[in-house]
Amino acid sequence: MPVLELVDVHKRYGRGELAVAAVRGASFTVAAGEFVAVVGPSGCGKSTLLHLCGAMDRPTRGTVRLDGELLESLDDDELTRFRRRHVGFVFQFFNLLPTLTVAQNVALPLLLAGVPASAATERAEHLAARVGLGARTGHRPAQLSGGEAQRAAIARAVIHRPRLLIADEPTGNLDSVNGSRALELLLELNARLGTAVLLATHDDRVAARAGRTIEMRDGAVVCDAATEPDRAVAAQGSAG
Amino acid sequence: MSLFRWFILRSLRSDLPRTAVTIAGIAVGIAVVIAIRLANATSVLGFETALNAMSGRTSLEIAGAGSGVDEALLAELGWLREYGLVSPVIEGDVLLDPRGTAGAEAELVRLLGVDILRDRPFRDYPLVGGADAQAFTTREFLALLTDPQAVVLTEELARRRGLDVDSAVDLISGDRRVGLVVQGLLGREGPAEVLDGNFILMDIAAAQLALDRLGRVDRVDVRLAEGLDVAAAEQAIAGRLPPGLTVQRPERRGAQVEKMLAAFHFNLTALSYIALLVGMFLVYNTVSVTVITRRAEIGMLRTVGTPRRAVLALFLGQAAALALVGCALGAPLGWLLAQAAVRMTASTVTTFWVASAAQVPPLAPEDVALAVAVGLSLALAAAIVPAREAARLTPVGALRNEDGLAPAGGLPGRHVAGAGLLLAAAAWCATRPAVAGLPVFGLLAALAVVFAAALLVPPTLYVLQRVRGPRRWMPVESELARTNLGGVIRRVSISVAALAVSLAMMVAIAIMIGSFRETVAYWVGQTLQADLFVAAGRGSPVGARATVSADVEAALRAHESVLAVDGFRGVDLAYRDSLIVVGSGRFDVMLEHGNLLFKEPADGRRALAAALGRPAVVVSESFALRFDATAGDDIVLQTSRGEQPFRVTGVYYDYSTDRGLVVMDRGTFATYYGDGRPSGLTAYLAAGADPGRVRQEVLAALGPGRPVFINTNASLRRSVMRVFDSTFAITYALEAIAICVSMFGVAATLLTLALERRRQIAMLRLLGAERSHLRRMIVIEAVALGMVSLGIGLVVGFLLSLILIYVINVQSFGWTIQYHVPLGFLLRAAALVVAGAALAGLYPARLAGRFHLAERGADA
Repeated sequence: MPVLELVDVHKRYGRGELAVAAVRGASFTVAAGEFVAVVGPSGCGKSTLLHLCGAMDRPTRGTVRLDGELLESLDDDELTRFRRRHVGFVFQFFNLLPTLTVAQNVALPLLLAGVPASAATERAEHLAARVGLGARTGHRPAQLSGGEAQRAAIARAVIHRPRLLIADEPTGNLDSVNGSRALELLLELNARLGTAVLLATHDDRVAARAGRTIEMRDGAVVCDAATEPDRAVAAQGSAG
Repeated sequence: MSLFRWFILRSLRSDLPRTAVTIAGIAVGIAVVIAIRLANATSVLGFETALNAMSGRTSLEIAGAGSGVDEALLAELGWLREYGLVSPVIEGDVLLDPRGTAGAEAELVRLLGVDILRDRPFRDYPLVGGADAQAFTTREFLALLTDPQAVVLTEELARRRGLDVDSAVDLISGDRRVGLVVQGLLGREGPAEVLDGNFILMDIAAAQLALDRLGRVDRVDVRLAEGLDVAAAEQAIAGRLPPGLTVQRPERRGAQVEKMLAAFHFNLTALSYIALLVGMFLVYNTVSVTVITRRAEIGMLRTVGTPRRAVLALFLGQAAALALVGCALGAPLGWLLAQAAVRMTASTVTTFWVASAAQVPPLAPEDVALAVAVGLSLALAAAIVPAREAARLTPVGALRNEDGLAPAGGLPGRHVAGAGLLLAAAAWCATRPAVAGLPVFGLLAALAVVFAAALLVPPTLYVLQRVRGPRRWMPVESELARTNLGGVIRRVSISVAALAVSLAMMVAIAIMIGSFRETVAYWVGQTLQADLFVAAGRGSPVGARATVSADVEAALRAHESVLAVDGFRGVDLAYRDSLIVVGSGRFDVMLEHGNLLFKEPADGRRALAAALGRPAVVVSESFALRFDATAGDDIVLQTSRGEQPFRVTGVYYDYSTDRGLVVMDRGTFATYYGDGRPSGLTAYLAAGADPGRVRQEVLAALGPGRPVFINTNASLRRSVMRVFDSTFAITYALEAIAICVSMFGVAATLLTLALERRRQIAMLRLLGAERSHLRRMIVIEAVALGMVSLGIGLVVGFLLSLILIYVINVQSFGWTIQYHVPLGFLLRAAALVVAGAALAGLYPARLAGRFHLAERGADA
């Protein structure tokens, strides 16, 4: 059973003549453990598609099934609880809560799920150490470099072992070295935890590391194909 | 200018509800200040208008010490005619009770008794003669008043009470009821303007009879001949007057009254400025919200070359626009509120100082100027913080919509140092004496404490946000709330300080009033030892001259259960430019039955015994403090025998008036001020006698319809406390306004914070925070802010209460108040504040739950 299944998904904003079709008839599936890159020019609908896949938004038409659950059947609070259990998010600008420490930021999804604070903090500190932030757990986001902040955001996105990780331009705000480190971390977690990753990017080198690429143009999926192995190897070489 | 129109005015129009609330807040604050200013002016003006109307064309007046001028002396004063015209006058406040109007209350009116032949050059009496207006000659006027039962009313009073010429009315003076017939009506001119038309005119002899002052007049008015210099004449007359009589200009009485009310008005004015907190915090929040929600636009303005100063001017302009509209609405609203305030404070003024009633004067240009000056400067002061924040935004930062949230920095040491300096200044100010009888330094001390408290808010929040609460109860929400507040200490500090200051004022005033109430209750319990109290009149100021008739005293003495009767008689007397009350009582009765509480010597009986039968007095604490008199001093009083020294043998506690009371034995009083009837009696009953039954039996013996007010001990105590409570009603009303506004401030701050944090809140939703998580988080923040404010408010309130009780009150009124904490009230108020804070958090909490996930940020 696929982790994610989209069937003829449309998303329109506005009404009448001013209506904009952000996503038009997207249909695809993502299997467990798969690493999928969504590419396309700015404004093609990548972020909107990711919002729909991550249970952040509802389609105007069509169905989104995540881990076997039909999202349209869930009300707002059910959708929130569903996200809390099954989805992780990484964004271009990290979106860490500025007043919380690294450990607190990472532990947040567990705390919201009702895990006792001591257990959640222990797991967060352990995971932070795994992503190279062992010495930074007591720091606040403003005290971190961009690369460190994104690693903290990645740790937060996977601490609850989600079935799907949504990453929207996760390397877009990083220099090439930190961008590569963040990507490697995502790949490692994808391989080790079996979490499916749906990643939107402008960067061909990043897209080339994914096992599969979905290309969008003007809201429609125009190409959905496995990444060519030689491109992936080349990209890995240039990134390393 | 067009930038201001596009950027600010449009924003104000687009968010009409917030704009309207802010303007309303400013308008209410300004209105309260203007209302209290006008009400204060009105109560003095009322007296002065009455004084001017009653004085007419009088240049000088000859008055006796306390109890007027003996008629026998008038013949000796014939030489006064060398200086001009002369007219003896008698005045009094009496109740007018129209007959046949059962159920309608008798009305307080000012009675003027004159010799109409002599008095017409002094005052205008435009008789309108009922329905058929006609001109009256003096002779015809005299004919009207020759009947001792004749009375002339104002047309206004007659119309209001449904009276006309030939109507029968009862005049109640003290415990006497005198039947009169209306013989004429006066148009609204001259003395008829007094007390909004509550004026009646009688022949002087009839008035003496009605007021039970046979053989005495209040004063002799002199209208100087053309060309005579008033000052020179005053000096010449003073040199020729016999001992016991003084000459003064009529306006001097107005100045004395103004001085008498100054402290009351000063404190009321200081209190009214609290209401301005309303506008200040609303302006702060409105400008803050505009800055926060329009950061991107500010960034764009900065990018296209708008200088920082222009951005600053834009937001200060927004505050100024709000303030100007608020002032424009607030000034007339203040005039309307003044009408209500006059009604509320008139009873206090009348109870404690003088009978007053007056129209609120129309709004003067200086009132409007004051409103604009105060409103505008406070609005600009409130807007300066967010406006500077807007001006400091960098184009990139603003366009990126970066958050203002940041983790708490270090302990704000400058704040702590500033607060320390202010507290030291407060301590110094608290030890300074009054300035011209006003507690100027006391109020400065209070102000310094308030500002110190405001400065201590950020350090307090800093320390508290480092304390983690118990983790079992809503751990995520409370931890998020704690860290959130830690990140916005600078921003929430102003709102917390506002609420804390309002609460501190509430706590201080509650403690002050509670202490005062307890003190008065104790004083009443100790001092009011008699079983029955006979009052000569109801609803007239302390020192009023209505008297208890001899037959009433006789009926009381005749009752078998009455062991002893004492009488109190008081007269107003000028003393060092102030009006004091000189009173008399039977010290022998007080020694045997009474129990005055003495400040010094502790054994009051010794003080009373020392003053018995000698030219010696005991004085109230307010007199002692105001005039710096202690036991053993000699004070010089005007008497009917001229100036006389009196030895002060003791200082006693008294809370009935702050004017200063000098009390002497009745025998001594008779020697120096004449042996008039007392204005009140106290009766001590035999053990086991039922005061209620004795009261009924005395009233029955006096016959039906006799306007005698006999109170039992218990009912007098109740009515004293009732008067006390109504006196402070306006204080509580003003405080309630301040608290509600501060609560609104907390709600507005939380709303601002929620808007500011919408990205974080959306992120939390994304990570799985349910709406209920967010609601709880914001309500916890609200309760935390409320509790911090409450904690600071309690501490500062206790400090302020010390200043209020031991400095401001003593300097204003000269009363010692025993410190008492009204614990029950404070606990209830604290619970209400916490509940109110939670309520204040509900709307921002609901709003936060509605933020869309896509608000998360620029990368969406």
